[in-house]
Amino acid sequence: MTLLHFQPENVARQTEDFFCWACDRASLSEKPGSEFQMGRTLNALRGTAVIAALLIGGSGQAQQGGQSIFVPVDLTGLAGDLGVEVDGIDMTEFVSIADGGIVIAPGAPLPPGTYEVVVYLWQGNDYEVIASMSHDVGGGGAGGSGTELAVTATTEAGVRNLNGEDENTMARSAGEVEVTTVDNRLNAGAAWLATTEPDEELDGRPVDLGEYFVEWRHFGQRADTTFRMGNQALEYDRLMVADLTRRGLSAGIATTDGRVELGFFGAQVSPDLGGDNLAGLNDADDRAMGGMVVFTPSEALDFRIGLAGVQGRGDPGDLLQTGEGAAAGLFVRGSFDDGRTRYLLDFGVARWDEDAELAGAEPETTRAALFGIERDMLLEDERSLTLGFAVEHVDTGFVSLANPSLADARRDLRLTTIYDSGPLSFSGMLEHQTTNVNGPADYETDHIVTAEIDGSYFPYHNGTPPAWMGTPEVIFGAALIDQRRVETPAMAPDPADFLSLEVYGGLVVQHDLWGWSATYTYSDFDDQAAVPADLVSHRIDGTLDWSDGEKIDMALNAAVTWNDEPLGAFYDTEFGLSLSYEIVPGKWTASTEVTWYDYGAPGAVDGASIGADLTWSFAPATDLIFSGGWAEGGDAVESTQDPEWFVGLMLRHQTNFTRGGF
Amino acid sequence: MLRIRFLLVVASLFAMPFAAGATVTGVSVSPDPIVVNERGSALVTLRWRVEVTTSLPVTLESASGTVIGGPVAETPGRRLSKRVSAAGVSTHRFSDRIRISRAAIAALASGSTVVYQRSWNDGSGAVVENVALTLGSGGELSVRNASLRFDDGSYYAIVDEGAPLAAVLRLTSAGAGRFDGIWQVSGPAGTGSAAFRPVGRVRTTLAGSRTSVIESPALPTDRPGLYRVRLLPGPSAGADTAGTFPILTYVVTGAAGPDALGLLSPAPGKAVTPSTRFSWDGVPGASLYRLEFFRASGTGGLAGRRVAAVDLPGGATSARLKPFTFDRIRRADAALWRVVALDANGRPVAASPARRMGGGASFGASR
Repeated sequence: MTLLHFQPENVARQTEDFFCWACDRASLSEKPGSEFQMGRTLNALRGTAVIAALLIGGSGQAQQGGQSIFVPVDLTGLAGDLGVEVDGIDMTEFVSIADGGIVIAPGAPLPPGTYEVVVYLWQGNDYEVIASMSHDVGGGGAGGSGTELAVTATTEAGVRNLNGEDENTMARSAGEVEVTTVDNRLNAGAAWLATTEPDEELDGRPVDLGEYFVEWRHFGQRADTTFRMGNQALEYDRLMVADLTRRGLSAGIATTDGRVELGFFGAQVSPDLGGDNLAGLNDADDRAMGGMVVFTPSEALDFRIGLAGVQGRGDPGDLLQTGEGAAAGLFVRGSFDDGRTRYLLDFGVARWDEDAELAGAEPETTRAALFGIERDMLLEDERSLTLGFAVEHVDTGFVSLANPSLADARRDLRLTTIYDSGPLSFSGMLEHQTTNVNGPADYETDHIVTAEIDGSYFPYHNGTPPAWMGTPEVIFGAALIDQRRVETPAMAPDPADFLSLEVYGGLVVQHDLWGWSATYTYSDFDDQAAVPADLVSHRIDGTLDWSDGEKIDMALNAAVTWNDEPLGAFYDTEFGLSLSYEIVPGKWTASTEVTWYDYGAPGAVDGASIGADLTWSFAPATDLIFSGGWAEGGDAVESTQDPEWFVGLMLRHQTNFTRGGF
Repeated sequence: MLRIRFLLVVASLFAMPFAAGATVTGVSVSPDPIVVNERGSALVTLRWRVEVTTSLPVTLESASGTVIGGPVAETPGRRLSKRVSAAGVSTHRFSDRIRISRAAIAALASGSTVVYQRSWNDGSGAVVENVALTLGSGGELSVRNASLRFDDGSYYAIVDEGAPLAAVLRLTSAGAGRFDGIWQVSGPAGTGSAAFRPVGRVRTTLAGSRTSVIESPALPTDRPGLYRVRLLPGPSAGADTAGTFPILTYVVTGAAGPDALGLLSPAPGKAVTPSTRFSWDGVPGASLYRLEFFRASGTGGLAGRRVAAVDLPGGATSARLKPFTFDRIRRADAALWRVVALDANGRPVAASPARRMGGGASFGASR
């Protein structure tokens, strides 16, 4: 491991206890072979002695990689810690000091291409860029050359006999192809599924496309541009455009100094697979378009302000009707006090006609606002405490076609905490929600208070547990929900107050070849309605994984739940086991899987099944699989018989093809 | 001949499911009325109480439950039946979990009278009980949006044998109630069972208007083939509720990809702060570990882009972020992270699953 720490001192100082983000002190103390070389003084700069404390791991890993990048940088009079990024990858651990600058020896070979190298000087949470440059690998000029094609696929065909009566032949092929240029300017990929089984078809066709994308990037002098067609991953803010993973077209432009960003998109509203509507824009009743602009007024200030908007027609959720509307908003992001305090503000207005101009519901104008702030109250080397506060107000009926999972009709006040130390960490939340915000006057209003905590504890965080014990982790948590009616208009339903408590605790143990876990969960639902339906349950879950490291792999899980409900008390029991054995490694493999479940709830469907495979790898990437199985109850679904059984024979071939440099 | 006729009459009396003298004397149900939200579909558990007076053993039965009103006529309720052995007056309880569709709620919102109806057959005639539906802002647990994807954000996944994979359900709900779901997987198709078998259970209380993220346990990828995964709403769910949430397809190829690399901390969904320590299991043969951060659709082969990374030598099993890396992931709204172990030639020897990051202590916190 390499550490670089500069102090403008005249005296060489051996500093063992310095503050370093990338240092893993625990690993240092656990590695008796580590060597420390301290106090090298650089005298290359006039009038100022710069002290560099250089720490090299005993393995000499700083020298691995085979490629070195020299970055000329003036280190005169600098105070703080040095950090280095290569194309956004922090490679500080692989940096050493040389005359006139620094040398980066990447830990893994860099493919041919052009790389952006940035050198930072940082102290605490503050940092600045002190040097940057472009570096070419592989002899390329402004852009590299060469294209890589990768294909992964599995193709199989077989026959299956059910209950000794019905025989079915089947065939299928599934895989993906990816094309990448070494300079990362063009990336494309597509996944397909071809099958003779109608139940397996992705979109009603025997041969069909799953997900795909084509992305082109242009790196300019003043701005970088990205175009993408296919499955998107769009998130501009938290109200207008968030978590949008649909088919469409998008474009993004960002100035090289990062101060201005523009984005545009057109996408299908509903999630879809298949070869139809590849661009996602063919159906005017299932399409949204929008954009955003973000501006950073000053590079010296962490403050960004942006606008986002979306409009279109579609069904944004489980509404079964096409609506039409638009939404626009303003968002702010930023931090101060060396980034220890962070904040966001989103405000939006939406106009939505839920039946798209049909004679029926009138369009509604609604508003939403989110504000959040969090601060690192404690920020030490091994401990941190972050407190947060948020207010969220979303009118009833607020809809953005590009944010289908946004919950409306609420006003939330929320306090949060995150504590992280070496052995102990936990997060907590206290929230108060008011429902029916700006909703119909004849609907009821409730207050819902939620308190949660989740955490973990590593008893051997700074030590080594006994070998037989593995690495244990204690997990714990609780959630309390209290719902109270505060307003019941004349025709509104009666109060449905309740108090719910869930508590869990468990132990998770991990070892190289085995692991196990046991968790207990208690739930208590105290229904305070006129006709209560109280629920109490106790559940124990257990898992066990074991391998001999060579031929045998086993995984087991089991759970027992005792439920006390208005209809009575009953047990639910679930069990699963999978086992594989390499009879002749690389040639013959046997595997089996057993499932059994018994639900005590009235009307519940129980089931059990056992299946076994014998695989013969008779040729490279080609297997012949003999299979058989038996199922009853809920697992006997392929025929009218219960129990049912099957035997089958299948031929399978794997394709893994990678070709580059064409 | 007379003896044979006598025996036939006696046998026919015992063969009848409802002998003469059995009477359903009372039916009640809770909740009554059923309060539903105007948008979305509702998951409702009804508790029926049926009183029977009988002199002979009978089978008390309701063949189905129907939602009717306006243009809607649906049958979400399954058959309920119970053998009544004791003579005299007895009371019997049934749990009836149904999904009231958006179409039925839309009919209710448009002014139609919509009811849920069951007919209890006592042999001498049917006793019909109707439960009215009514609109409210709270009411029963209502599903407004359910987005089921894989943990990398994709809707269809191709993964190597042994690779980690999980499904994630983003559930936008309103109202209140117990959410009892079973993660189920079928396959591998052709060589395995076609039935959906349980791989995990979700039991929690949801209340108010919120978006919840529910992650499945690790999905089976130990055998090649085509699999399908779904989240079934509860063991007592009727046949209609199987269509409540989408079904995803994934294919496990026989290619041996990188070994699984275990992540230790932070836990899924935890917010990342400048002092967060990322830790993982060491992997033999690793020359370098790369801690990577991705936007919403991250490590899936067909979507998403890496926004930042940290390279660490092979002996490292944990790291904290420098401020410039923390700022990079914060500005890019990175949502996923993973660790990849590389050998001296830069080839991956092990990779962890993509793990979700929280959006900050206060930002977007949701159960």
